[in-house]
Amino acid sequence: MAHDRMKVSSQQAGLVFADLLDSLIVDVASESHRAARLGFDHKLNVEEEEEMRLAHQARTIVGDSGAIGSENGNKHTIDVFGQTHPTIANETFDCMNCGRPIVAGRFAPHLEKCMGKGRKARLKSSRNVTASQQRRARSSPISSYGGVVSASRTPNRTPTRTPEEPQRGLTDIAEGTSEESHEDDEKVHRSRVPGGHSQVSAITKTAKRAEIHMRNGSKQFSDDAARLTELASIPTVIITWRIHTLCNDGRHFGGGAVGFTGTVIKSKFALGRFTIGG
Amino acid sequence: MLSVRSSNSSSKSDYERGDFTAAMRASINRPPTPDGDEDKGAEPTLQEIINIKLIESGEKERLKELLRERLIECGWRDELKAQCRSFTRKKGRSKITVDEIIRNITPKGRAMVPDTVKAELLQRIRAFLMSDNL
Repeated sequence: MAHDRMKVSSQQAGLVFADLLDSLIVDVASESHRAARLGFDHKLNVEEEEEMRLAHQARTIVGDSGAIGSENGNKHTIDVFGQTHPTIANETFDCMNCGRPIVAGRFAPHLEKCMGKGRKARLKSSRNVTASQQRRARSSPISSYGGVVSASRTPNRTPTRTPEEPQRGLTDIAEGTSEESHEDDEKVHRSRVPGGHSQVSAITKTAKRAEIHMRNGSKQFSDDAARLTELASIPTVIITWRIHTLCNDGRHFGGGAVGFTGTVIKSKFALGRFTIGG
Repeated sequence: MLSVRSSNSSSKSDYERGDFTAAMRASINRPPTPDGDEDKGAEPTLQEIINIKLIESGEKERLKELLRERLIECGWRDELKAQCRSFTRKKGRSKITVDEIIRNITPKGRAMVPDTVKAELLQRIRAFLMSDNL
């Protein structure tokens, strides 16, 4: 008995609901009809794709950065100031080791291959070692270069290596990089590095070395080296690099080592040290 | 059956011409007066009773408002309006009628109601029916 009443009840409820819904549908229809006939429905003529565009416009005006970000597919993050940053750094600069133009986001893996653990880099360095050994044997004046020289080899070859270097803080050599990163001594690296400008903070003319501290790398370090050579009338200018993790002007170079300071050591001998330090 | 003596000669009726006798004579054959709808239906159906009760108690109005609010919240109304607009554009703005629109969008509107909204309303209606029709 009660079950029947339940069934009837449900049926009646369904009918009541349909009745309510129909009256609401008629409301919507009559309103829309009136708007269309009287001509004040602005969305009537500009539908479909334009509606999407207008909706997007409205959202940008309101300033809903979350909606905009998700619409873009999250390729650009939006910060609180409304600026968009691409999530992958796409600025391109030249590697100071091999001279190739590298995208900033790919710089760290490139460095690994270029001067680090890669097989090719090791072959390259061993080749350079033999070449430079021959050249050193032949003549002492060595042209300027910018780049990487292994630290562990130089002590054997250059008897006039100054003992001051440890105090200079150049001995913080990362493991595994010292033997492998050995670059051509004589080659002048014309690679350009973006970033800030070089600042010549101190040039001390000692008998055997001049030193330039360069902050943030330099577009013209080779030019500076050339200039220095002229100024100091020293035949060789050698630049060593120490990579640190932060670039002073706040630009990010993509994961891993970013930015660098350089120490220019002028000397008659091929002397240098490269460190990759965190 | 009403028989009318048509006056062929003139367009005026007997009554108008002043021939009252003729008019009254004609009225004898008129059909009997209807009984005043006594035999229309046995009783108001259950459906009607429920409807009357809903309206009288004001519950129908409340339910309608609740349903309207829920449907606006979930975007049903905007979507249905978009349907109206697209139908109007197809048929031509100046020639569209309300009936056409209603006939076109009613099945769509019925289908577009979210299940949660429908369940909520049905529950409330059933509760009312249970409490009232005992």
